[in-house]
Amino acid sequence: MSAASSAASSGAVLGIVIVFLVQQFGWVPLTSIVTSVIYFAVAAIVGGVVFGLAARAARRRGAKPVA
Amino acid sequence: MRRARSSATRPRLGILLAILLAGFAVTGPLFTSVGAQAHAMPSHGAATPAVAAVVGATVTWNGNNVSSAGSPSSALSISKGQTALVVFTFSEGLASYITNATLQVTYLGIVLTTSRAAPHVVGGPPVTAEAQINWSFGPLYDALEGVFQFTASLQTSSGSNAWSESFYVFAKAPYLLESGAPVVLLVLTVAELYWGLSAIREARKEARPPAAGAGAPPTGAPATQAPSTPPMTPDSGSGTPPPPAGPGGPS
Repeated sequence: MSAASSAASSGAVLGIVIVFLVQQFGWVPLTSIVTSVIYFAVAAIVGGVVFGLAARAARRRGAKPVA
Repeated sequence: MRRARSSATRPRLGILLAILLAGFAVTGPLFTSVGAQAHAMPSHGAATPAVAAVVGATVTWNGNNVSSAGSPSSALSISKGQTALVVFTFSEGLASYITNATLQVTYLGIVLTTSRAAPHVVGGPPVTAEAQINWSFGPLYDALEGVFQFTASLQTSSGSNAWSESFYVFAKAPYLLESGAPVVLLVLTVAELYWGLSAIREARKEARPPAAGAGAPPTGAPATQAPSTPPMTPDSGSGTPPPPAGPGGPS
């Protein structure tokens, strides 16, 4: 498992956990299963993409030769 | 090394999430209804407009009309240890037609529980029929909090809904951290942030070329040539020189 995919999976799980947390704080109701699945999917995709892109950017920056 | 530890903790995190979800599913039926029978039952959907117009019921939650809590932002609230008195009021002429007043709690599309109460006629004026349910979160309050959708409905003897209305209730804790679920979720959030940022740092490290002089030489460096050996020269002292033929030789 590469570091980038590990970061992406961490971001996806983080998104799902944040949706649960937001429900606990009363900002979002998880009532209907369809709505809940949409919330979870969007949060997981956004978290995974953000962390995956961040890892890729960090890798690119790390590969840049130092002058 | 760190990456290996990070990937090794991944299944553990999945197990934590699974336990959390299973906890919701298992403790769901623990929703208690004081003075009302609680049974899980399938939802029957919304009432038809014609019947709903005839029934014309109102439901109050501790004296507040639930029609004002139709969205999560305007949710009614309940605190730990508090019991909410839910009163269904409808036309007295329908008392024989309506056999049950029910209150359902929905979470993730699942009806967690249904509390029922039989209606009775209340003296007026005006004479009306009403049903009362004393509802509290009970022990589940120690596990979770948040916004939940409630559905109040009136049912006929055939089990079909004559009227229903949905509203939202926010189960509050003083610092929003009294229940167990937010604490677990906060810990998970911090852990996931740490793991994610560690993986990003690891990605940067794994792309960085190793420092010069440490380990193998970098690729692309010119290959060192083996020292060339000088051509072999004949050793002058090794052989014996031929004897010169001189004039003073033996005659």
